[in-house]
Order: sequence, then C-alpha cells, then structure tokens
Amino acid sequence: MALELLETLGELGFVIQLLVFTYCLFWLYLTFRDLPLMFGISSVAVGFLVFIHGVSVTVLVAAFVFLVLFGMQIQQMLWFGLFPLLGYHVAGDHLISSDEMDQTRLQSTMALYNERAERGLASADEMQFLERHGAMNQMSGGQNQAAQNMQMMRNAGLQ
Amino acid sequence: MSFGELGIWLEIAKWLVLFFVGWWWYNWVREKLAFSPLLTLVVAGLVVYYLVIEHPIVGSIGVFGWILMTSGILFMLPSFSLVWNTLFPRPMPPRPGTPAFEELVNR
Repeated sequence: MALELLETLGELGFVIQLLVFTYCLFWLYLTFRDLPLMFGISSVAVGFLVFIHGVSVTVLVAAFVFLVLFGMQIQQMLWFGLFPLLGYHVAGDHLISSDEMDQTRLQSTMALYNERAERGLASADEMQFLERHGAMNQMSGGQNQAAQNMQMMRNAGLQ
Repeated sequence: MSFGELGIWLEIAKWLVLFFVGWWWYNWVREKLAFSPLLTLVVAGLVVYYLVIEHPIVGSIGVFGWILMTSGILFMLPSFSLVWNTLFPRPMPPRPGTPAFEELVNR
C-alpha cells in the first residue's frame, strides 16, 4: 500500500516536473524567439534545474503561477466570500466583526457587556470591547451621543 | 429509466469526460510546444498516459480545477455568502430586561 502510494506520488511528481518544464520551454521560446542559441542554452539550464533540483524549482514555479494567476481571485474569495461568511469585514488595515458594523447589534452587545461589567462578570475580551467602543466613557458621562456615534463609525472603519 | 440504463449512461459520460480530459491535456502541450511537433507528441504522450490512463481522477481534477479557476466563476462565490447571510442571519442579541438577556449576563 505504502509502496503503491510512493509510486503514484513519484509518477505524479514526474508529470508535474514535465508540465513545469513544458511551461518554461514555452516561455523561453517566446523570450528568445530571435536568439536560437540562447533558447538552446537556457532550455538545457532549465531542464537541469527542473529535473535535477526538481522539488524546489517545481514548488517555486507552482507558487509563482498560483499567486500570479489566482492572486486576485484568492483575495476576492477571502475578502468578499469567506470573511463575510464567517462574520467579518475588511476595515482598512484590520478585520472587523459584522456585529460591530451593525448599530443595533452593537448597542445590544454593549448593553450586555455593560451589564456584565457592572456585576463584575465581564471577561478581559469583553472589557476590551467596551473600551474600544467608548462605552466606558458613556458610563462615566464623558461623551455625548454624537461623539459616541462618530467613535463607533471610526472604529467600524466607515470614516 | 432502469438502474442498468443509468449505469450505461454513466459509463458513456465517463468516457466522454476522459476523452475531453485527454484532448485538453494534448491541446495544452500542443499550444506550449508549438515550435516542435516531435516534442509535442512525446510530451503529450507522456502527459496523457500518466494523467488520463494511469491517474484519470488526478488528471480530471487538474483540468476542471484549472477551468474553474480561470473561468472567473469563483468571482461569483461572494454572492453566495451574501445570500447565505440573508437567508440565515445570526440571531440578534437579546434585549435588556428579557430572561434571555439575564441568562446571557450570568452565563
């Protein structure tokens, strides 16, 4: 069983090397179309690299192709597909929870955490959440509603 | 349609898919090695042998994965996240004064 698996991996590894070599030949041919000597020399060099130092070069080319061709799609899928599905949005330089962007939800969550803080039950994360959203100032009467809303919008990355 | 007929159609579909996968790999090699028909035949022969005859599932995943990634269909996926979140919204936190709120406060 293990031998079969190794054999399969070996065969697939060879095919991947062959595909990478083919792709490199294609690229070299286009690059050195008017310089056959350079095409020949570089083909031998690439063949040596791909088939002798196979694994590292193949991984490098595969990563290059993957990121260059699919980088934008990966970003789109993460930012606008996966993150919203998990309840997060990109807010400038950090991710922000969907809950924090929804004012009604935010106020309910703050009410809950405030109550827990008043009873001494709040965890460190919850206290941090309250501090981040200026709730502590509200408790001490330090901010008016407009300033508090501005702070919320700023925290939510909307300004 | 009987179970046997379904099997026949599945078998036909399998061979059609394999034929398409083989043609796709051959075409890929032909495009890349257009400067040498002999090299095209050698490389295409090796690729088709390993990825269609020996490991058809891996070869098919390669072809259809590539088509999936390069077609732009994946750009549509974010729409499904929005639809999902709309159809199955997270429950709102309970309002203060309700039993559910008290339960959450004292959890």
